[in-house]
Amino acid sequence: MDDLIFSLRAVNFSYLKKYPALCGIDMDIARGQKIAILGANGSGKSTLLQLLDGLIFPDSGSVEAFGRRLDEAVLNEADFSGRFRSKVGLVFQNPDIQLFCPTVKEDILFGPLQLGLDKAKMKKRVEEIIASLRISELLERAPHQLSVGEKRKVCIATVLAIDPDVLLLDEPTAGLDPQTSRHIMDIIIEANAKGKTVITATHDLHIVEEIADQAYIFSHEKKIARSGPVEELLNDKELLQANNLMHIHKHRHKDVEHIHPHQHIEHHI
Amino acid sequence: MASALNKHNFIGCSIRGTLSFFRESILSEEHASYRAFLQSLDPRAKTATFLLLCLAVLMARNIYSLLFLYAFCLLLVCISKINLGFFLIRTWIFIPLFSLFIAIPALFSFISPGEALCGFKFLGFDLVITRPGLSGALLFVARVITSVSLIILLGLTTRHFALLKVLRIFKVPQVFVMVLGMSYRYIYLFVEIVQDTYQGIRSRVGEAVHYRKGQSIVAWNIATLWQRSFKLNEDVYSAMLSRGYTGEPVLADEFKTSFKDWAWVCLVAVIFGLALYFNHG
Repeated sequence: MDDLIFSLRAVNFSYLKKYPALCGIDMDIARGQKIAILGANGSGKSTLLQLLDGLIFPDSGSVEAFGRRLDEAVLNEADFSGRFRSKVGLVFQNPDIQLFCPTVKEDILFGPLQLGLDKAKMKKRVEEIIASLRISELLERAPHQLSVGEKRKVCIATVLAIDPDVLLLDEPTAGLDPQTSRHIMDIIIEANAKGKTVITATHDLHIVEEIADQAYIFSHEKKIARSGPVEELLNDKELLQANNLMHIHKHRHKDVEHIHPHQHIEHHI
Repeated sequence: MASALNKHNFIGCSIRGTLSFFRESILSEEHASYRAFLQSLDPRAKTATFLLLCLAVLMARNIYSLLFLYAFCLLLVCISKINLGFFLIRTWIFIPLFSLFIAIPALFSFISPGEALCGFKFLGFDLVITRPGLSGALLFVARVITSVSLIILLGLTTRHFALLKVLRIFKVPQVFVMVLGMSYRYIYLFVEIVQDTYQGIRSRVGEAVHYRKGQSIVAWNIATLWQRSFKLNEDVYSAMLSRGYTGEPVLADEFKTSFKDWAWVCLVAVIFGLALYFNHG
């Protein structure tokens, strides 16, 4: 496949060499795809995103990005590292990790400055992002003064400022109110419409159909339980229940108690 | 734990004091965001000129020059929309009062001999206040209060991160400025964690805990906080790498000088020149 961006073969990764986080992962991701990584807490979603971003490396197996095998030696090459970092952007799950500068503005400028982007180009791009995310009033504020939703938007802005070809998002809508969540989803959809490859790790099933065409479901064994078109996977109730993506919902209608599986694909009104 | 953190307890008082210091520090950033005179100046020009004013204070030999500089400082407070009462309380507490106590012995003839102004008996000793003693003590206190006021005014009207960035005009390496900026940013996160932990413990443990148990809980929390900071350190480094950091930070240079900044620099230069002329000319 000419358009292949990431190719993972038999990837195993463990923390401290004794706590497995990913086991035997095979995956091919092509340019422009919208992919969801689904799984319960602790199933290895965040670890996978960090592998794809070249922040950690597999114990065994291989991760290839843009036709080159990702390892420490390759990422120590200034030329490749610069190109890779400007092509792949990761939005971390915890905004307090991502926002490490004293002000929002400095955080947004951090990536472009490190990557040596032309000043005029950088200014124009940052202005566009600020307008699109509607965060102009936050620029001079310190990250600790922001709400969770604002932090999340700023995190996305810090990555979009690099204008990466691949956007990796770790639980982008976790803990957000519906309106902010909708805004974040629109940003993801818009980024993909502009040709970016978007890979989102989440367990919010109600957002998956909109932000992804293909999905990978991760099991408790840190393996890929199944992959395929989103619609097909979301209709497989047994699969979802087996991987903790669905729960038993108990409620009452006119004094009659109902018990049924519930998967949060659509919100109750 | 709660008893360990009650108002008579050293640990409790320390935690509350630290938290209130940081809260006050956050609040003081509000003054820096006002649209007023000092807030509108370039932080580099402001810092350099305030240092020049402090130098003028240090070199002043007569009380009138110091009073003029202090009055000038208070005028700046007013035109920078800072409440004068708030500013006076903030500047007169601690350091100037402390300096007043240091200056008291200098009033008397056994430290500063000279023309006697008045005398009295204290615990059987004859104490005489002399003219050189009084003028020396006044000069000392006036110097302290003016310098402290200038520095506090600079801190109140300038965002803290901007003050850190100003260090770069003194050729402090970028990596050092960045580390300071990050420390500044994460102090608030840790303050929040400490505050949340404190509330969590209070809600679960209540009031009836022996102070020894309270101390062990606090010690355990210090260890947990250290572990969290260590983990955060690793994660933040990953986040920096992810956005292209290679070990040599590049920071934005956002400062811009305007005509107003240069006019201000000239005014302070004139004041400094006049202070030199009247005190050493």
